[in-house]
Amino acid sequence: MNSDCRRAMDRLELSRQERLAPHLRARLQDHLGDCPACRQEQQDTEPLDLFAGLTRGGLPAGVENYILGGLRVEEERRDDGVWSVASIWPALASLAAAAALVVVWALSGANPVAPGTDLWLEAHAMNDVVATVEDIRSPTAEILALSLPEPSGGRTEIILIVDGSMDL
Amino acid sequence: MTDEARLIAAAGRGDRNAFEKLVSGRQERVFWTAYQVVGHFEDARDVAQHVFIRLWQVLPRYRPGLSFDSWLHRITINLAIDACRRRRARPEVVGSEGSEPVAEPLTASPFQDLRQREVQRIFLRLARRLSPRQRAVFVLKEMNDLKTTEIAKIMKLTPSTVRNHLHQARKELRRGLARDYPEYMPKGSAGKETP
Repeated sequence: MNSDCRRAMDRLELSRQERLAPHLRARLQDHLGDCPACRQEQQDTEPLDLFAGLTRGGLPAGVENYILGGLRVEEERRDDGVWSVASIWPALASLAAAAALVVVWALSGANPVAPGTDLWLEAHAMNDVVATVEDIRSPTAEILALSLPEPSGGRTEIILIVDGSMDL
Repeated sequence: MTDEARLIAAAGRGDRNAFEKLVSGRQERVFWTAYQVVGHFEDARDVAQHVFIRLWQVLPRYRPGLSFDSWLHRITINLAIDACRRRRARPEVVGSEGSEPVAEPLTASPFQDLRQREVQRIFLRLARRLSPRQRAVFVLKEMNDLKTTEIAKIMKLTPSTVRNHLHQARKELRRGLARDYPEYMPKGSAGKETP
């Protein structure tokens, strides 16, 4: 696939959405007329209406209560002031430990560095993200899950995600 | 100020009634979008619950710029993609899709329900070959009918990258349909652009 083909494929979707200028649409059609590979690609990437209705339906039984139940717990937790520094300290400590582990892992060369890889570290506690570290340039597998013990006896799950994005 | 803006402002100040009105009618879309991206009932239920908890937490920080629905889509897709990655990180559940309960969006007629169930199963099976991002783009475009520019804003990708993910997803799903479910292949849809 050459640069003309790549451009044609990019414009194909714009053309389908009728968002392509007439002269560019004419160029696209010329290219499709001359390029069998792009004609095949065009057929292979036609929109699929078959699955269109799959996000339109009522909630399955129990899901609404499950969602509302989670909100109630969150409200109660907020009212009780559970989110003190002391309560998230184990997670923060675990996150620091995980970060240190990744650095050591990277420096040891146990896992080859993929230059420019973004690593995203999150610490989870009580099903919430309580701390994150971004933009650690590091080698790793795509995902590394760690379950670390907390002083209180519980465990904190640390998920390391390459190229993750949780920016809300 | 629109009704929605008033509800957002009130909910952001902690008004639970305003929050419930704001999310009323949006739970279905959030759940089904999460379900189609994650592909597992319990994970999708967790994602949906977490979406609304997250929304409740971050609503005071909401700034118009991205529409409220797009913002909700962003939270849903981010958490759903995150759930996909977590699932892949848990060795004990890899390959357990066959035993998962399948949720089925229902229609008004039993005949259509039957077909919808089958289509749902087909999608879950074929979409396993897609990356989480390809799957998310496909769900937003082909199921939620969003524009590629809107999807690009939601997922913080370039429109060109969105179109590329969409092409790859369609190609893979079409290939799977042709191979395993030829009776479901769309007829007469190819070649519209061909001169």
